[in-house]
Amino acid sequence: MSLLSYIKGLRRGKEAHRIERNAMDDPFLFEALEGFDVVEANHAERIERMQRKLAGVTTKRKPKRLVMWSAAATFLLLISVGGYLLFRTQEPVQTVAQMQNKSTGEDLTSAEYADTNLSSPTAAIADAKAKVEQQQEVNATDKIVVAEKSPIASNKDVVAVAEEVVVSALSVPPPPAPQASAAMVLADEAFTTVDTASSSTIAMGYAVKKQAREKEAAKSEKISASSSFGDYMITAKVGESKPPGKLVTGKVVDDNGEPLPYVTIAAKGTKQVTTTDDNGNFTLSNVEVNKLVASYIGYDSKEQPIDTTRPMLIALNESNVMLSEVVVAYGSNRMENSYLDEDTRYSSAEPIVGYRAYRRYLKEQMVRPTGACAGVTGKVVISFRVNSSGRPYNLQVKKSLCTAADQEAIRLIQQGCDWTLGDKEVSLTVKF
Amino acid sequence: MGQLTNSISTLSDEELLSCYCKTGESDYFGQLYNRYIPLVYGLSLKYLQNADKAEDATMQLFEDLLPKISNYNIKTFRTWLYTVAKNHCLQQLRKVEREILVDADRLAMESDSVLHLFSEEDGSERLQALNRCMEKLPEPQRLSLTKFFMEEMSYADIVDATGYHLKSVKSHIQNGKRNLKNCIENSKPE
Repeated sequence: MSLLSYIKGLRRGKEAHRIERNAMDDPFLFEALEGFDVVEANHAERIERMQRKLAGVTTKRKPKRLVMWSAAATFLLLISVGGYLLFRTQEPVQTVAQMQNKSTGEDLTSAEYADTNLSSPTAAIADAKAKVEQQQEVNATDKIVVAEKSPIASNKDVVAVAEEVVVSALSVPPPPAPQASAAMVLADEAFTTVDTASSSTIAMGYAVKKQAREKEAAKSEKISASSSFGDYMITAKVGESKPPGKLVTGKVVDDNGEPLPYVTIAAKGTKQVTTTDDNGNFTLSNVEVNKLVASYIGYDSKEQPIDTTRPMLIALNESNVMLSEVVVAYGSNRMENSYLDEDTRYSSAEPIVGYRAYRRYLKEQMVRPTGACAGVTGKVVISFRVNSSGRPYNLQVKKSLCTAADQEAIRLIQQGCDWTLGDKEVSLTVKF
Repeated sequence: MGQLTNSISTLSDEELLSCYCKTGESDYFGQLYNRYIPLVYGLSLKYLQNADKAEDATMQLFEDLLPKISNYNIKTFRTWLYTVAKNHCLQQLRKVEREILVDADRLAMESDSVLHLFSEEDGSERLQALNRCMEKLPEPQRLSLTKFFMEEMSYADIVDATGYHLKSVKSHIQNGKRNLKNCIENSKPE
C-alpha cells in the first residue's frame, strides 16, 4: 500500500501498520503523518494535483534554466581557465599535438594541426565537444549509427571533417574565447586521463558533432552541456594549481552532540563557503584566513579559530533569539499527545554508527578470553563518559564477569568507533 | 533531450540527483521531488497548519531548490530534504512573525533501541527482561504495544479492537515504549 492510500484513509491492516511502524524510525515520515492529521482537507487530491503540476513545470521551465546554466558555467570557466592558463602558457601547442596524435593515430594530421597554431585550439574545442556529446549521448542510437557509417577510412576524411568543425566553431562567435580555452583544458584532461581513447571513437565523435551542427536549436543546449562538463574538470584542476591554502575538515554538532547537517561554514571574511553533510561533516580547502564561522538557522553563529592538525569540532547552541520567537507549546488539541518526558530530550551519547552496528561490532570483534576465564558466559557492564572528541573515557567496570572478560570489554570499547557527544554517562553491556 | 524513459522511476534518489546535476535535465529532479511531495506537504501541514499554505510551501521549495541543488554535496537526499523542508517552513513562519506552535514531542524521536527489542530473538535474557517489564506496564499501554508490535496492527485497527481513542492509542504506544526502555535499562539481572 502506498503512502497516498494511507493518507486517503485506508488505515487498517498490516500495510498501514508497516507505514506507522516505519514512521517510528523516520522523523520525516513521522512529522508528515502528524501533519495530515492536524489539518482537515482533501490531502490526497492536493498531492496528486501538485504532482501533476510539477510534471508540467519541469518541461516548461527548461529553456530558461539552461540559459542560466550555460551563463553560469561560462562565467566560471572564464575565471577558472584564466588561472589555469597561467600555468600552462608553454604547453598548448604540445598538448594539441599530443592530442591529435592520439586521436587520429597519424603523424601527418598532427603535423598539420601543429603548424597552424591559430586553429589548433579551436580544433581542440571540436574534439572536446564531440567527446562530451559522445559521452552524454551514447544511448542515442541514431547517432551511433551515423558514427559507424563514417569510419576512419582515410586521414583526409577525418581532417576534412575536423576542418569543417573548426570553421563552424569559428563562425559561432558568442563567447568563443572561454569556450575554446575551456575545451582545450577539457581535451587535455580527457586525453591524459583516458589514454586508451582510440581513433575510431574520435571519428565517431566527429560524426556526432557533424549531425549536431545540423540542428541549430539543439546547439545551444549542447554547448551549455559541454561547457558545464568542462567546468567540473576545471574546478578540480584550478584547485591544484593555486598555491595551496589550508585544508580544514571538521564536524558540527548541536549542544547534545548530535551532528547538524546543512550548516553553513564560511572562512571568515572571505566568500569561501560550504555546508555540512548529513553527518555534520564539512571540508573546506584553500583556506587562507584563521577563523571559521558556522551558522545555521535557529542556532547562534559561532566563530572558531582554525585548527588544521585534526578535524575540528564545532558545537552550536540553540539560539535564544529563535527561542523567543518560537514558542514551544503544546497545542490544546494535542494535549493527549504530549507524552514527552524531560529526559528523553537530552540524548545520551550513542555510537556514531548506531547501536545496531555497534552491537554487531562487539559480537564480531570479541576475542573470547582464555586461561582462567575460558568459557565464561554472562555479561560485563562498563560505564563511561564521552569526551569532546567523541572518545570514551573514564571506563569503569560496573558489573564484572571475570578479569580477562572485563579487560576484553574495555578493549572493545576503547578500540571501537567514536561516540556522539552527550552529557549522560553511558552504561554499556557486553555479552560473553 | 527530453525523451526520458520510464526507467527513471526505478532509479534511486541519489542516482536521480546525480543525473540531474550532470545533465541539468529538470525532469530528473522533478521526478525525484515528486516522490517526496506527500512527505514535504505533510510536514508543511504540520508546521503551517493550513492546507493552502502547505501546498504553496511545497511548490515553492521545489522552485527554490531546482536552480541550487547541484551546488550541494548531498549524500542522502531524504534526510537532507527533511532538514531543508523543515527550515523552509520555519522561515515562512518567521516571516509572518507569529508564534510558532511547535509540538515538542516531535523532538522526541526515540533511539530505535527499544524498537528492535521486539524483533530481538537471540538474547533470551533481554527477552525475559522485556516480558517482565511488559507485565509492569499499565494495561492500556501493554495492550496497545502488544497489538502494535506483536500483532502488527495499525493504529486504526487498535482503535477498533480496544475502543480507545486514536490519540490515546498513539500516546499509549509512545509512553509504553519509553517506560519499557527505562524499565529494561534499570533492570539489574538479579
